[in-house]
Amino acid sequence: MSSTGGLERKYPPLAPYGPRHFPRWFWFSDVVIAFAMFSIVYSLFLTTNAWTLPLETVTISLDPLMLPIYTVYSTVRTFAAYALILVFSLIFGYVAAHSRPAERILEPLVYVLQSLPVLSFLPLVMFTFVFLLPDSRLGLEMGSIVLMFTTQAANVAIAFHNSLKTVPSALRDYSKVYRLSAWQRFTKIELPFAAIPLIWNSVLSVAGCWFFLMACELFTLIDRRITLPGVGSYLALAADSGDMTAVLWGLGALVFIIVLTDLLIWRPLIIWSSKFKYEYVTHEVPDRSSVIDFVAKSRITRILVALGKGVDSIPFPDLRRSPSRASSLRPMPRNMKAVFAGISLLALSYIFYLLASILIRLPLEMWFEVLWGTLSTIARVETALLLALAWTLPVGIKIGTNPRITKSIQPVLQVIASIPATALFPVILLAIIEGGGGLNIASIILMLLGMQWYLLFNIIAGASSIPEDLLEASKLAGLRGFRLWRTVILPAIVPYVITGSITAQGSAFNASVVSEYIHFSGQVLSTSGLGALIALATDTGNLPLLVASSIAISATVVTLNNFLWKRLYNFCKDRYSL
Amino acid sequence: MTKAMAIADTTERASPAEPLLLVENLSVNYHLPNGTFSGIVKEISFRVNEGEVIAILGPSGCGKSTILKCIVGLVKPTGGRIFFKGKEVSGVTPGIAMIFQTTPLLPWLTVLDNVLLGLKSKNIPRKEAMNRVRDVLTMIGLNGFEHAYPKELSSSMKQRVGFATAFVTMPELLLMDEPFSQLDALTAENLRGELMDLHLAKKIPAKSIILITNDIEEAVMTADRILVLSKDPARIIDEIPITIPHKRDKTSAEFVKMVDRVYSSLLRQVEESRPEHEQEEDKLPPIPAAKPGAVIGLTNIISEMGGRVELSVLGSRQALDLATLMPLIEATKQLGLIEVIGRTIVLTEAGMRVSQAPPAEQKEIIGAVLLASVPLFQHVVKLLYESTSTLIPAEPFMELLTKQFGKELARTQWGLLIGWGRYGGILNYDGSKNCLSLDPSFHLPDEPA
Repeated sequence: MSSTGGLERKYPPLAPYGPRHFPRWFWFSDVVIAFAMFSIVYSLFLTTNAWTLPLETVTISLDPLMLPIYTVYSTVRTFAAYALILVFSLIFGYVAAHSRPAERILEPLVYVLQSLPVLSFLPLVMFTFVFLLPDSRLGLEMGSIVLMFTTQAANVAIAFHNSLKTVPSALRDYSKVYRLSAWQRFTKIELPFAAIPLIWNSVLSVAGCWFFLMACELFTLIDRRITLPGVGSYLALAADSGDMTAVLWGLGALVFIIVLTDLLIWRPLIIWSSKFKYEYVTHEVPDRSSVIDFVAKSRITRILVALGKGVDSIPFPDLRRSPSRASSLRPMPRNMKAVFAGISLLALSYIFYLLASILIRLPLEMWFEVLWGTLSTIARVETALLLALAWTLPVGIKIGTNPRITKSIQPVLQVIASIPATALFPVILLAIIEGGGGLNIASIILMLLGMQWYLLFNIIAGASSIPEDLLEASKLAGLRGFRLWRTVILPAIVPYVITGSITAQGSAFNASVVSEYIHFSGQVLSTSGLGALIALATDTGNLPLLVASSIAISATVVTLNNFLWKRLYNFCKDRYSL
Repeated sequence: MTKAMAIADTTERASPAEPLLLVENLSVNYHLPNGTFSGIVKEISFRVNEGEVIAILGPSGCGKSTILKCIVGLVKPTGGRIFFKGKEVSGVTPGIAMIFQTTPLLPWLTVLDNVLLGLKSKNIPRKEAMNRVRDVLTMIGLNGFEHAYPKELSSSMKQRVGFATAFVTMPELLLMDEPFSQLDALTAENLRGELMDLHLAKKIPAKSIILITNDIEEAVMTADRILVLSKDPARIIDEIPITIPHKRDKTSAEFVKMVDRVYSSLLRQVEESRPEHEQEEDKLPPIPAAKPGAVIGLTNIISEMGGRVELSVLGSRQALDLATLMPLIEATKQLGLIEVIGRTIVLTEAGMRVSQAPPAEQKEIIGAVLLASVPLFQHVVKLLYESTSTLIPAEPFMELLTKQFGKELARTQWGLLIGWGRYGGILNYDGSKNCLSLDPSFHLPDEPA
């Protein structure tokens, strides 16, 4: 395991990061890692300590000097939510992939979960935790973390589940022939195979958590206004009091922590994950990460890796050494199926009954409001979509068809994309209001800012997957400009545009609750729309309105996805896939 | 054998009289949409004794891999039984290892970890496992590559890792599914030679080997017995013992004789073609499974060689492997362009005309030949003639094919129908509308042009 000294710079190894690549020990790495581990532990200590303090001491100050500790609190909250998301997705994906009946229940559940915006969960989650841990800050904190989890868990879970379902049969046969136990199969085959989508979706999820940070740290519960100390509530409070300097400070803190996590965690993780690409030939030299190189020089890292290997080689007591059956799914016995069906029917009817009893209390005029709100929000979302496409299409195609630009600009874009638009919103809103516009326009812009990145990245991916020789041949044939676009480029990227649009649309609907109803400079600005209705309902504790609008928004998203986008996607997939 | 492997070799030996593996009446079927069964494998029986190398030879897609998968326990047979060392096989059995066509190495593990994976299921202490792995890697020639990732290896090295993973489990029966087919000829020969050397020197833990191959020479070179399979469904049509002592020489007279013997066996099957299908009244035989270009190319080659050629000469001259050659010969025969007499292939008059005509005329002749010899075309043309509109949606034809051949085969048949139909100037297919129509220049033989 000796290093090759300076040669490594000139001739970077073809192999991904692995045990062979431990470079020479550098004492400074140990120092830095020790410091990092210590600061993480200290942050956790500070935060959990604060959580055990009594409720009355919860205050928020707009003093910028409080920002560091607020940042620590928010970061711990976000990553705690992520830990929950990860565990949930692993369990969900595994169970849904290995058991057909479970899949039939869980899959639609997660899709509904994805289509509901954050505020719809607020009452349920918060009531549960306040009930479990009454009159304590811990209950509120737990609630806030779980709230964040509910909004961002779905895409990771779905991505992991899809990955598991598409494990190539060659690998599955391999694990059967060598009689790997379920745990070994999971850690050696399934998890690594799904690693890349898992990591990418985790990045998206955490970015989403930052996006909704404000909504999860500052909210109304029945009649009380709850503020959990953190960067989100700081920003919201600053916007509410019209203190623009404070807004800028808060924005700075948020951007700082996001860029930090991107550089130190996500970027190295993504580079490391190229090890898991399911391919046997590689034509490109894999990227190097200076962070990984630096960390690898530390002795502490080596100890941890050796520990990991040691744990891996402990022969696990084999719990179910049954000769692997030739058929993969075990069909459930008849009577179990009946019992299962009976229980789910009962549960469903009870839920319907509950919902109906709540909805009945909504007066008729409000139903018209909900209908009108649905139409307005749909109009707003699709307008934002069209506007986003107007700029992301040309820019994305330009970047995607130019491999050198792609490589250099991608990391920059990722950082910009991870800055939550909700934090910028007060500034933008101010500018628009002073310019004479209203919340209507501002909310479209906010939706735009949130969803455009999904479109851009998908379009870049699509454009960069157009084969080089197709582009060259077209240029030789004299196709350029608009004609080149129309005949070659646009048809080729249509599936990607659709995939991006589905995600973008979902995100826009989710963002409607924070863009159609805002506390700004002491007053409440709102415009007609489902998001506004949901936010209003949360603010005033109007449960029937909340349930009605939530159902409306969920139904809208699911309907649009299934009847518009999926059809479009299937049509284009056959026609236009290269 | 090395020390580590000798210590681990405490397996029970089967008595010499009892075969290591006994396959009895193995059948594998799958359901067709119209409710009937279609057989992939039909009543295969054979035995493998200790120390034997058996080669299973047959055209592609005839179910050879399925047989191996049944033996190793990945697929449950529809009928018949398999006995390994006297005990019936149900599910994956220790003692049987399989090597795939392209080893599905895990790209995120090093060579060492990949080979160790094979031992994960047995609770062997880490030190002993590492020793075993090191020994096997040395034996197979991968010394020094322990910490390499699959991405860094060439294809022959990747196959060696596959071998190592199988050997390290100390199997008694080794199954190999076309292990050399994905390698280039030289590398394949090298690796094959090494493997045989190891086997003859008894350095491989496995006592018996079953090898599936497409290459007749490879089979004759390595095997003690060759099982020749037919396809659709797979049946054993011949069992040929090879008694030539090792090391076998490709150019020796006895080797050539054995190769000829195998070719005859395969051709005999083509001669007695398809009584099974013709017996069932409403079942139309499938369209010849070869491309128009290949068929015409074959007639050209035979014409160049004087109108008649021996099969073995054709195979070696054109460097065509069995998988490509046999279906091509069958297809050309089905179209009536060649005849098979013993081991010789003879161009018929129609074949002669096709090979010598200019391209435009070739199409016409092929069109006429298709109508005359492929009933499915007659059927399709009849339907098109009888319909009132010129464009007919493709769905009813797809359904017809699916009912006849099952979903999988229907797709290939559809592609062949369109391909041949277009080439012979009979059919036109509009992809965007998914419709079939008669080619305007097409006319029935007894109609004026």
